[in-house]
Amino acid sequence: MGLRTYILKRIFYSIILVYFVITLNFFIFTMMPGDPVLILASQMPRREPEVIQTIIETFGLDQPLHIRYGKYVISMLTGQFGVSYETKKPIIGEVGLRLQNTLVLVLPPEILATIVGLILGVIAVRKRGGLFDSASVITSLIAYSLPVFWIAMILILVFSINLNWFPAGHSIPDYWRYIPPQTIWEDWGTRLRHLILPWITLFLLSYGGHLLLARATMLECITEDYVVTARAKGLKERTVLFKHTLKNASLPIITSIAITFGFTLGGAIITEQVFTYPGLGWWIWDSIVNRDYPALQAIFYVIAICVIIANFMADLLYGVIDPRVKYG
Amino acid sequence: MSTRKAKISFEIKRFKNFMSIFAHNRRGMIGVAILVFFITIAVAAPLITPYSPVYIPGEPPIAFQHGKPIWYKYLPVGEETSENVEPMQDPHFRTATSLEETGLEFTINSISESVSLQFTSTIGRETEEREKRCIAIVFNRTNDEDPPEVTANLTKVFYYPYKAPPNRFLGQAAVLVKASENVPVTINVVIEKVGGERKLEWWSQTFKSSETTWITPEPSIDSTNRRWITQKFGPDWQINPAKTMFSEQGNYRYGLEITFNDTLRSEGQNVEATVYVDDFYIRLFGSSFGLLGTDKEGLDVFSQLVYGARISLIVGLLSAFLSTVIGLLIGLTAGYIGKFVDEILMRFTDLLLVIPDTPLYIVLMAISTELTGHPSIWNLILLIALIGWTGFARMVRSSVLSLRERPFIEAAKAVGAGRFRIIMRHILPNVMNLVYVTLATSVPYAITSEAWLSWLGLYDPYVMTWGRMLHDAQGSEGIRMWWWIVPPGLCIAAISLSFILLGYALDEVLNPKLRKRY
Repeated sequence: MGLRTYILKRIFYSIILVYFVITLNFFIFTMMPGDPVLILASQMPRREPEVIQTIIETFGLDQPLHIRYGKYVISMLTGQFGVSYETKKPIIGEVGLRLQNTLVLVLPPEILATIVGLILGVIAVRKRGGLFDSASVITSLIAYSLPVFWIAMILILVFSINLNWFPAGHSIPDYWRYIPPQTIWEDWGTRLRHLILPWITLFLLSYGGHLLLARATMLECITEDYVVTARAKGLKERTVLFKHTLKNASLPIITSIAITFGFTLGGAIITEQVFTYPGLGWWIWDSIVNRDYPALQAIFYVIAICVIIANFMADLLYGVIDPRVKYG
Repeated sequence: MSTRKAKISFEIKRFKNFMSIFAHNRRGMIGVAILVFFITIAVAAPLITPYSPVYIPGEPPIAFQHGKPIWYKYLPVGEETSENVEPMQDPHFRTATSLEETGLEFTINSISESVSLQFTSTIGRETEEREKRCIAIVFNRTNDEDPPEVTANLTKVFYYPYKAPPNRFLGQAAVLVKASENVPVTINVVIEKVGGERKLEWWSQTFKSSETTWITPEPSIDSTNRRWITQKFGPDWQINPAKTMFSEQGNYRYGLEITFNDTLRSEGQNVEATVYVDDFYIRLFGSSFGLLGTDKEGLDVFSQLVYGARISLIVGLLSAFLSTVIGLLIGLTAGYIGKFVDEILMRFTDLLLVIPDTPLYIVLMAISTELTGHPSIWNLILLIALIGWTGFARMVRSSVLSLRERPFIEAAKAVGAGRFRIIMRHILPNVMNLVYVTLATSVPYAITSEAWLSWLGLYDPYVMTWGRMLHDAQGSEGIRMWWWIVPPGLCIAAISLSFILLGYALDEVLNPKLRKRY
């Protein structure tokens, strides 16, 4: 099977997954407790039958299940997430904004954690069983087991409450609503100050996992014959490690980055909760509290799509990087 | 019979061999040590701490809210704190038979011998099924005596040892008065500093007839009772009677002043009045309590930490077990039966793997909350089991796929073994190593999932967990109290770490290929 068939197959699987996600989404949210009609009606000043009828018609709640399902699949595929029960505004605009915020929150620490984890993992492998190796394994195991929200709370306690270096929450200060920032430096600087603590949190959450994985895959590769050959050729240890071992070890690492992307997004949801950061995660919680189902469905869908795309990219990379991959 | 014996002895040998390899695995032993520590704590929780980790309606409070730990004052940054003071050991007079044993003082302000104090065992506050006992102060003047106006004091003098004032005092004094028109009885409840000027008259009432029920001071003796403060000092939110009253070290007196107003009107008659006293105590709540302070409801944080080990272990082990069983069943079915079944099961697994579990847990927990009325720990365990099996099912499936092509399966088939028998007798034993390792490594996943769900507020109101402790701390000014938020996080990490180490060790021991790597 050639690369093209492989890619086509992957695309096909991803599309099926998207469809499954939509279906699961639909059924979870039809199971959700609480009658949305009543919730909406409770927000209206008058609770008369006509009002309720209007709501039902507006949100299409009177149709039978299969018609709603069909409409649902189509609207999800075309990105029509509908109107939020809570704000009565189209969800799609909010989704873009929140997704952007979440990606700003997640990507920098995730990339940094991957690089740092990889480098430390390689260094740890160089002297296996040595002091640095044991120390890095132990610290990353501990970082890996610490609850993410707890790390965030401790960071807030130390750096925000006691030292007052960084703000404890939000992405921009409250007073910007009245006095917008004057210079571009103030604008970016303040935003950055808000991001530092969540970034540290997410970095600590991820780097341990990356380090352990890098170390484990490196250990697997380092016993291979070609590494022995490379050493026997008299290559420098660094060349052996980075060119021969890391290059081959990078394959499972890439896959795992993609697979843990969902995990990282999950960590971001909790981190956003602690720092009241207006991303997708905080929005989820808000929507659950307000029973804003359309918004919840959209968030769910968007997160799942992100993960599917990440997996797909990993598959592609895998196929492109490693000529040995049996496409299939 | 002998084959069975040989089999058993073989198994024992194998187990011994396994244990001896395991015992040489340092990481594994560290994991076991941490685990044993937490299991001990979880089992012995009631022996370690007497306090309840959650609020029980009707139970009296044990401490003030947001208390600091008792060792806080020894820290360089620490300030003076006070601890609880409980002068009266036996407020219901259950064991005391004489005044000395109660530690109370009884004084009369005249030389009249008409007032006496007795212990009675026939009457007492009927609060529980306890022996009815109380103190009776009897005024009995015969008709040949002059009517005196006698004040009897039943007081407790106690030493307040702390430089810092307490945050709250809570007192009680139940009285049952048998009086008559002739001898009205006045009862005052007072708190005062011995030899000082500060005196707090909490309650005063005059009785002119016999009461049939026990009467307790109203407003109740409680320094946080805003009604009383408003009555005395006006609506001032700054006033804390506990702080002003016990502002320094020294001897303090809490007691009843009972005045028998015997007047000349009843001269020449036999006069009798009795005041029964029960449930007589004062308690001072200090600004510090226990090893780790108190939470926003005045509950002991250390108890919560200790009992939290129980819940974490139960949640972790149960859901790990359940999810491993589910994963095993699905993996075996998909792997061995294959074809259509495999396709369906694996696509479903992919689906669950793609959806990030964090939002999934939140939504499903919200649904289950609606079904049971409140978030329940059992729902949570089920949910974790139902969501957490996916990765393991895939692992089982791929190892079954390779196993089913092996010659010994073919041999079994050739002999005529059924599908069920092949799975149970030939495939299952070969994936058991995987099962043991996964059992250990999925416990941390369950424990952390429980922790963050509780932390988000989806906790069972009847159970105190480490995650909920952090939720409570977060939801109040508690985030400043590092002694409250640091321990639960460390415990979650430690218990997770122990299972991870255990899993690694099992992996190394059960897969000899890995052993030389480390």
